[in-house]
Amino acid sequence: MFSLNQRFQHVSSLALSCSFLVIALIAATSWLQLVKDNVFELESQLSHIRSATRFAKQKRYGGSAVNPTEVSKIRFNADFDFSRLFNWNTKQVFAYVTAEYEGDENPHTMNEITIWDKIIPSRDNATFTLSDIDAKYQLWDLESKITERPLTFKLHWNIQPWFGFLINGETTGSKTIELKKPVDKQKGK
Amino acid sequence: MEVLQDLGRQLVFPIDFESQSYTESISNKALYLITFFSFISGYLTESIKVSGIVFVLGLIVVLVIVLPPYSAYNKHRPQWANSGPTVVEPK
Repeated sequence: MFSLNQRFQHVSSLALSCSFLVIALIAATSWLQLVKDNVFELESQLSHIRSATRFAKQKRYGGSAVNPTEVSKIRFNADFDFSRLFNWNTKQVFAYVTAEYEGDENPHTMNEITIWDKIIPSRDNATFTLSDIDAKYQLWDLESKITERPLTFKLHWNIQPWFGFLINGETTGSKTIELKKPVDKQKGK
Repeated sequence: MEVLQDLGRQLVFPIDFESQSYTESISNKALYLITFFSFISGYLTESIKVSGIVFVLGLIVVLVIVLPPYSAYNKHRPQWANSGPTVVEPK
């Protein structure tokens, strides 16, 4: 602490260590707050899932003129309240709906496809009652068939905090349905 | 380069031994208190911003207290023995 330089270095280095301690405390307490609010068992409602399926011959869907791929557009209703995910350390929440299914040719592979997502920036707009909305992304598989197999639709969330790690979770309201077979004559050719 | 070395010698701003131990202990204690209060204030107001403001303001206060070589920090300068040859007067 003899010279100005030494005094400045001592104070600034200790202050840096202390700021890391503050950050660790903030991350830990906000995580405990989430556990206390029981957010890992949030409820949600996915209902009225319906689909329109077509045959795609384009290469980007993995199809060909001989063996077209089934591509499904999904519509659904969703009802969820994510305001409990917001505490003082939450920057924003990413909500997304996925479809999960096992492979047909490889029954032990689990596939997970995101069909809809939403960035929720504040607690005030965290309650959603969506009816009859289109999924943002279409649904198709490496295999040429997506219909007539059980698909489990789930709503997931992902908290992006100011300090600390990303926190992932899924809501309890999942729905398993089979998509309807496409009414199209192209497949028969 | 001579100029820079001169400038470096001018910017040392030394303080005496007692004040060195005093500034070290007070800056340590103050920073631990600031850590505690910035977390508590942020937790109670549920705002990261408040936490940061309390921490930075506290840090500025500590720097103002500790950094400058106030005249009070140089009151107990040790009296060094003369380094030159001492003249012993014959009796």
